[in-house]
Amino acid sequence: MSLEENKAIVRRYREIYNTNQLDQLGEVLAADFTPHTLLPDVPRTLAGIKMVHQGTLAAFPDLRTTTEDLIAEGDKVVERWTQTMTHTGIAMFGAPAGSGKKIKTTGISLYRIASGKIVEHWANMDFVSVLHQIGAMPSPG
Amino acid sequence: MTTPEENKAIVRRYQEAYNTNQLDDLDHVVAADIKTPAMLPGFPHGLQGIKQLQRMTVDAWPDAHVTIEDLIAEGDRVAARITVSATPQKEAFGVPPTGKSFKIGGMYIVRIANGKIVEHWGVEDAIGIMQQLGLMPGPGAN
Repeated sequence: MSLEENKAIVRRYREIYNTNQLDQLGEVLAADFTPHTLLPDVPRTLAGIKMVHQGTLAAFPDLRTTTEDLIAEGDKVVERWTQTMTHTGIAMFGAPAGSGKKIKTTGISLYRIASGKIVEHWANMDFVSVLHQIGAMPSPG
Repeated sequence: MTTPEENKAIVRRYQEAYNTNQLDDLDHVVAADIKTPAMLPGFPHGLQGIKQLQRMTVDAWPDAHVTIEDLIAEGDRVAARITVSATPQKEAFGVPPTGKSFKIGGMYIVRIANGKIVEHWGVEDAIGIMQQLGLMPGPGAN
């Protein structure tokens, strides 16, 4: 696999999320992938990550992630992303349903790719800023 | 232009300067006007702000240590997957000392120009710090 092919796999992964077509994740995600930063209670399966995404969309139906940069070397691709969402759905992080809060956050994901599929995944996001913007934590300063 | 391997060496030196608290060494690998979109509010711009943040970190978390777990480089950028560990001894960043240590994951990306880091984006598992210190319920706790 070339670096550009690996980047294309990550772009497809992101598109599947943004269009909420997680049934198609099998195209780009290996069945036995290792998600290193998934919440501990969530099953380490496709069903587990679907559950997380549907839960997020239930609170933030317009969730959108934009890939800002891709950095590839060997079998790894790093994605820097920004995310926007509006809290128009169910209650979340202490905010009542439909609070209308607009949230913008950032994150970085790392993917390892083997035989054309993502086999390992790490991600970090600025979750504290989400809690600040939704009002669950006091803002700094 | 430096090669991706040279850029990785710059990032290793940058991290070593932090881990040994040799802030003068940062002058060799960080541009004075570095852009840091993820910087905490209230700090000056550029290298000056980075040094101020590091002094505050070491003062409150004297054993703070960052381990580079992976480096991925392409073009003028280097991404680092890191582990951060520390035992808070003083209140800082809204984190009080509890006698406990934490170990969390994080990632950052830097852009390098003329042999120095000119831009830095970083995210780390800040919630994990609060959970491991017992200041916030963990994901499994109910």
